[in-house]
Amino acid sequence: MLNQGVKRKILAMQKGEITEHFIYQKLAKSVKDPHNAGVLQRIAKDELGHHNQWQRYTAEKASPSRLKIWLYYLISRIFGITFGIKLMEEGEERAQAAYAEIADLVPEASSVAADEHRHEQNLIRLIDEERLHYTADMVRGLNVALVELTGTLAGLTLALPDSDLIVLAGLITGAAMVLSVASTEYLGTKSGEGGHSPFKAVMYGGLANIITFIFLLFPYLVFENVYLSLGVTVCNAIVVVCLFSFYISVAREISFRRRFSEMVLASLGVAALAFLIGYLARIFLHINIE
Amino acid sequence: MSDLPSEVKRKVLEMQKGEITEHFIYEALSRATKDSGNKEILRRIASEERRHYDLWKRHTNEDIKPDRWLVWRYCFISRTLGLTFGLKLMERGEQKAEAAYDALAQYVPEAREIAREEDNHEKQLISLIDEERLQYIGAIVLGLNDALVELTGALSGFTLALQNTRLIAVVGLITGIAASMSMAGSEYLATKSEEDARSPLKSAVYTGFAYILTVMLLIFPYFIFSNVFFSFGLMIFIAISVIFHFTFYMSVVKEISFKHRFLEMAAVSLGIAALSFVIGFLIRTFLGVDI
Repeated sequence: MLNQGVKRKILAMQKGEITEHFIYQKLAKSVKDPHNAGVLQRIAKDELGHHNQWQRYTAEKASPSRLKIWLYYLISRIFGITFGIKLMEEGEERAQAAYAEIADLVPEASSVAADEHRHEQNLIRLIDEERLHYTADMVRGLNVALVELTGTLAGLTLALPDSDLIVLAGLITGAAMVLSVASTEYLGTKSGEGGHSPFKAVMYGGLANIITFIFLLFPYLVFENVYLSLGVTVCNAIVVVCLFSFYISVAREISFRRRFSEMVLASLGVAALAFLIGYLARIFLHINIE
Repeated sequence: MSDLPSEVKRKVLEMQKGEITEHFIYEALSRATKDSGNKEILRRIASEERRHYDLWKRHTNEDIKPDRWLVWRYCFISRTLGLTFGLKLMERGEQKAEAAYDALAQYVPEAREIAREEDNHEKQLISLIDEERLQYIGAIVLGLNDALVELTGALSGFTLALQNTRLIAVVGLITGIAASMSMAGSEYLATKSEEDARSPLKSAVYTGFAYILTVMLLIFPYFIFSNVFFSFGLMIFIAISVIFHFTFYMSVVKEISFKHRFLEMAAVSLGIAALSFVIGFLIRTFLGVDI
């Protein structure tokens, strides 16, 4: 009763639903928090229901995509469930257009699908992930390291073009920065709102801070030519901003473009200014490194 | 009415002098203040002080001149360091002993009422003064704290690792400028996300300015002297002095304990400086850099 093209589309959706069913089930089993496990279990059941609904039209069983199950499972385990699930759901939204085509033939099915989709979104929001409570701390740690170190390294590159010296100064600056960020973070959370553990805030903020710091200083350890190192550092900075903005934009559903451009502009702007200051320092202060 | 024992009369005259001095201070400040709300508050306190003066005078029948030096001093402090700070500092020094009023109440029935007004009413009025600077004190604290902790740390590390004051000064300056802008940027974003009455741009400017000012104070020994360890000692001394002054300001304005805050801040800055000093030494030994 269904023509071949429509049936193929429905089968594809069926496959998607059953794959998601397995992903959610796998995640539900791996999660320790009973609340989150319950939420994931409910979504898994819903997805199975969708699959069965489509099956009534196709009268065929669909097998899940093993690759996708592993991919999203791994992503969720490494980067956090909220990020993994939202990333997956974002891919699903692209299939939304397909619903419209099928709507003529199987009207009730598509309206149910839309309802279910909304329901699912609400459930995902119920997932309570510790690491998302500390995104603000991570953002701060990352931002500070990014702006400050690209700036410092750009300035040092012009003021004292000697990669050993820059690594030395960069390491000390970085160490002082990490310690200072951690202490302000600790004091800030201690006097601030409840529900936030000061120790964890320091850990998340500090970790983002240190990772960024290592990533930015790394080129100076590898290359002899300081200008080349600076170029690589700037590229690294852009990569870090790009990855992190992407993560935040998916996990918190905010605009990627604005965040990305804001952070890139801030860190490169400061770097450019510091570069200029480094240049002036070299001209006017005549530092000689023997 | 003026049958006061000479001992009591002397005390009342002292009170009278205090009231008239404060009257002049508040009046001068009211005249100098631009904001109409604050102007009115100051004028009201001034007239209250005047009324107290007149009350005391009815018992002594003597006119008293204000203490010109105090008037000038508190006006100057309030003008340069902020109205709230100046006034609270003045009220703090005043802290009239309850017992003195009680003793006077025997002879001067209004003494208790005056004491109560001084204590409550005036404090209330002072707290109404709306000063922009105080709204942004959080931003200033942020810049200052971070600069103190980070730059004392970095400079301590450089001292052992680089051992050349010129070099340390330049590296410190570059680090400090980059750090101040990074801090100003994060304060901008933080204020923007809080969505209160404060302007994100102003907060950022206050933070950045407080930061860079502290940086300049801390690195200047390295620009002037050529002995690294002498510069280092002077830098630590400057850091402690900045913490001391700023904590005092905060404790007066916010009426909080000086000792606790000062010790906390000094311990954090010096602790991190000590740690960086060790890190600087280790990095130098480990990397074997010779300059």
